[in-house]
Parts: sequence; C-alpha cells; structure tokens
Amino acid sequence: MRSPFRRSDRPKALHDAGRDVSDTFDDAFQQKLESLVLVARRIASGSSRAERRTKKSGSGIEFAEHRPYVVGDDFRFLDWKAFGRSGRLVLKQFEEEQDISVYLLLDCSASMTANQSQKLNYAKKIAAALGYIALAGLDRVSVQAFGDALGARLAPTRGQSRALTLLRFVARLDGEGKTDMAKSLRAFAARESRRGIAIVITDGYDAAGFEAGIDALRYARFDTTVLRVVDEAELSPKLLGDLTLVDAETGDTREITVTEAMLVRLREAYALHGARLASFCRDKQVPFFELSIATPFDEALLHILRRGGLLG
Amino acid sequence: MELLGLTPLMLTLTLTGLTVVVLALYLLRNEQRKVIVPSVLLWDSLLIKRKGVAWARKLRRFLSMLLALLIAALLALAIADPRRLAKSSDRRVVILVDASASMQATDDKPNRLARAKAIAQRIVQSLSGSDLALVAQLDASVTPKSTLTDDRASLRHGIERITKTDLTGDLSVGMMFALDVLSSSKEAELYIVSDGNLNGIDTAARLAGQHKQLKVHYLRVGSRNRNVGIEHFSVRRYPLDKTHTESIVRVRNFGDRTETAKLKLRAGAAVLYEETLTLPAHESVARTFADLGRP
Repeated sequence: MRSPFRRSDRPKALHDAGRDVSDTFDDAFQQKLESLVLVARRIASGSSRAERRTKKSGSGIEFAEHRPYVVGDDFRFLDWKAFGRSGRLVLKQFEEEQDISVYLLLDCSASMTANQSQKLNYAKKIAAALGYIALAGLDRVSVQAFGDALGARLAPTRGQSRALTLLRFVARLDGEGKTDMAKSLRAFAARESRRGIAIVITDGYDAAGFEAGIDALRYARFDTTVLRVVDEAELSPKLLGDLTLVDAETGDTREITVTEAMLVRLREAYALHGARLASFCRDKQVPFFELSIATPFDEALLHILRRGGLLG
Repeated sequence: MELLGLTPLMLTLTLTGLTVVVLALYLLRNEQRKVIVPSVLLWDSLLIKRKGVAWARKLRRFLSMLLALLIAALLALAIADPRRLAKSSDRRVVILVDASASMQATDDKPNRLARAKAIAQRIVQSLSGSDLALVAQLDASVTPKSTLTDDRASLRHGIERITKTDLTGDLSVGMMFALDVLSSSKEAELYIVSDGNLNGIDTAARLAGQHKQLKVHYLRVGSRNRNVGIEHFSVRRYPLDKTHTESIVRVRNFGDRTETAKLKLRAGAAVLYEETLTLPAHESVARTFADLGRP
C-alpha cells in the first residue's frame, strides 16, 4: 500500500502540515497507521463481507444472479444462453462496487478536556486512524465535530492523498461547550443524505441522555457504532474533603464532602453509567466499545477491527 | 469581679478581634477548593442519596464555628485574668517566713525553708485582687521583703529573696512587726510559716490575744520537732603561749524534750572529735579542746 507519507518525506510532511498536526500525530503515530491499514485489510479479506458491494444491478462486471424478465427490462441484460437451456427469459444481474461513506462524529465538548484529560486527544487519534484506514480502503470519509450543536466539519473526501488533510483537520479540533447529542446528531442525520457508517466517539456525558442522539442515527439508517472514551483518572480522583465541584461543560457547581466511601460509590455510578450506555446499544444492536485512554490507541483499534470488522 | 490582665475595653477589643479572625477563617474556609470535573452527572446521583447528610454537614460546620468562637472567648478571658472581688476591700495580710537556723533541716525536701517559701507562694496565689500583702523574713529580727502591695509579682519576688540564717528565730519580734503593719486594718491576717522552733512564742501569743481583729494562721513545715544545734563555736590563742590554741563548742537543745545528739568536729575529711551527747530540754553542753586538730 502506498502511504501518503513516504518514509523519506515523512518529517517534511509533518512540518508542512503545521505544528498542530505534529503535536497531535507524531511520527510513531503515522507508522502505526500504516500497520493498522495492513491489519485491517487482512482482517477484511478473511471476513465474509470482503468488499462492500451493493446487491442491486449496476454497472459492475461481476455476475451476481439471475432474475425473471418483466416487461420494461433492458433487453441488453437478457441471458440468451440461459434462455436456450431453459426456455425462460431471465436477466443477468451484476454487483456494483460502491464506496461507503464513513462519518466520524467526534464529541468535542469541554468534558473531553476537563482537568487536562487526554480523552479528546485519544479520541482524535482514534478518529484519525479510522479515517486513515477508510481512506486507504477508498471509502469516503467525513469528520464532524459536535457538542451542543454541530461544529467543524470535514466534507466527505476520498483517496489516500487526502490523509494529510484529514489529520490536519482532526488535529485542530478543540474541546469546548456543552454536549447535546440528540440535537447534534439529529441535525447531522438531517443534513447527510448519503447513508453510511456513523462512528460516534464520545465520553458519554450528556445531561439530556445519549439515547435520542443514537436513535436519530439509527432512524436515519446510518450503520452506527459507538466508541466511548474513558479516563481512569475520573474513576479514582484524588479528591477528598470539602470541595466545590464545577461542571466543565455547564459551569454548574455542587458543594460536597468527598469521603473514601463516596469515591467507591462514584466508581459504582461510573460503571453503572457505562453499563447503561452499553446495554442501550446492545438492545438496539448498535456496536459499542469502551476505550480506555490508558490503552494504546492502536491496540484499541485492533480490538475494534477484530471484534466489529468496522472497516476494511 | 475584676480583671487583672486586661481592662474591660481591652478585653472587648480582644474579643472582637478574635471573633473577627475566627469568622474570617471560617469564611475563607467556606471558599472551598474548586475542582473541575467532566460532568456533575454522576456526582448528582450520589448527592441525591446524601441530601440528609448535607444538613448534618452544615450543622457540623456551624457547631465547629461556635466551638472556635468559644475557645477564642475563653482565651481572651484567660488573658484578662478575672478575679472575684473580695468581700472586704480592707483585707491586709502579713506573711512571715521563718528563716532561722532550724529551717535548714532536710526532713522536708530539699529543706524546710524551701518548703516554707513554696507555701508562701501559694498564699500569694490565693490572694484576691484587692488584698494588700507584705512578705517578711523572720529570724532574730524581721526583714520586710516587700512593701504592703497588691502586686503579686513583687510579693513572689520578695519570697524568692528570703535567705537562710544561722540565727534563732524570735516570734515576738515578728508579731510586733505584724501588729504595726496591720494596726489600721479592720480585716488583718497574719500567716506564720515556720517549723515552730522559735523563741518568744508566749509573748507573741499574748500580743495576738490583745488584738482580736487579727487572724493568725500558723502553717507548719518540718516533720520532726527536734531542735538541737551548735550554739557557740570559737577558737582563741593562749595569751601567754600563742603557739597553742583553745577551742570551745556549745551545743543546745531548744526543744521541750531531752534529746540525744552526736557531736562531730571535722577538718576536711578528717574527724577531729566525736561524742554522743544527751541534752535535757532547754539545756546546753560545752566542750573545750586544746590544740584541736594539731597532730
């Protein structure tokens, strides 16, 4: 596979892409990307899905199946040899290869960066890697940032040569504002007429609930996958005593006396929240993955690719 | 009630200042550490369960503040040193501390005089704010160690300045001194801190009896009543032969009972003379030595 970053050009490519890109996606990251593409292809070649093709007849060259002739069908597709053998008029149908649109929906709310959390950086790496793999598979890739509304958008693009554009766009995303998945994802579904794979990368913190947003994608017939990014530091915060908690998104405050027992209950509540999200996705047959930022992103992606055959 | 440490105005200012400091500290403490969290969503589920606890938390903080204010008030009062006013403002006290030779006995540790001074200090400590007192050393005469004052520090310092003597104590002198000092007072008290080995006790008792307004308190030190000591010791050369000397020692029993005492004369570590004496009450025994200590 040809990389958009040839080895000899790689440092230059980073330099040209600007400091944002080199800060977020270093050389090691890009080397891992290429490995991931190879692995993704190997996984895809061994799976039943193989290439993504439509079932309807089209301009492809690979025979798919026969169907009975009905008035109005194009005579050019009649299978005369079959007619000679069976005496029935049937039409040959071909599979048409079609590129799939991959939409990477990235939660860029303030909760992703609260307390210097690396959740957003991690999510950006995951999104960039998935986008890169999709571009390598000649799929159309679009990145959409969201918070309480739709944010920056990378218009659907295809071709490996667009990888640098993808990385540059993702690198510049920043976390701010609230989360409103229902509003954002509804707006997204209404705008994108071309259906495809929608990969939502979020930490799952939405005061109004995440269900409506995911449902909006499902109802619009997007092939939806949810990736929840978790930061273990949130599970065991070094907080004890009388504190004023400030919500990173809304600025709401809570006065609280944090004890060890309360931290234990917080971990339980955290686990319950994740379990609720996972349970909802399982009920709706939406693939769900929980990604810890402590896990190297390439390991996490390999896990997703092997378990979900998401791309490739 | 009167304040010895601070004036009422100073106490008020101190209390106000401490209250302001305590309140300021609590207000500052209420400005709790702010911690940014990704979402309060999860914390809310915990807080719902702890609404009752929140009240307890506020109450605890309030009680804690009240406790701090109480401690501050007590601290200010301690500095102010409040004293209950005496029933009479005319109370005058004389404290006589016996410093005669018998007070050097060590049956009280470290000795009787030190014990007597400690008792005198306690008397001073117990005086009320308006009491005037005087400390005096009693031996063959009376030596005032302070003026008639309400200044506790001066009285305590006077007690410290009492020193031992090798003299015989005379209580009648002390009593006359006390009566002179306390003559104008309607509420006069005399404290005598002594081992009781004093001359002139009868005279003193008679004088005290003539002044009914005088309250006499006798505070005894020492666990034994034995009072035997060397009353006289001198050495002289013979007038005709000045190369020879004669020494005389006289031992006296000041007590009311016959006592047995060991007389031992030393020159450094060497014992020059040793004898066990039997001394009738109020009698003395003399011994003379020619060329004492000469080999």
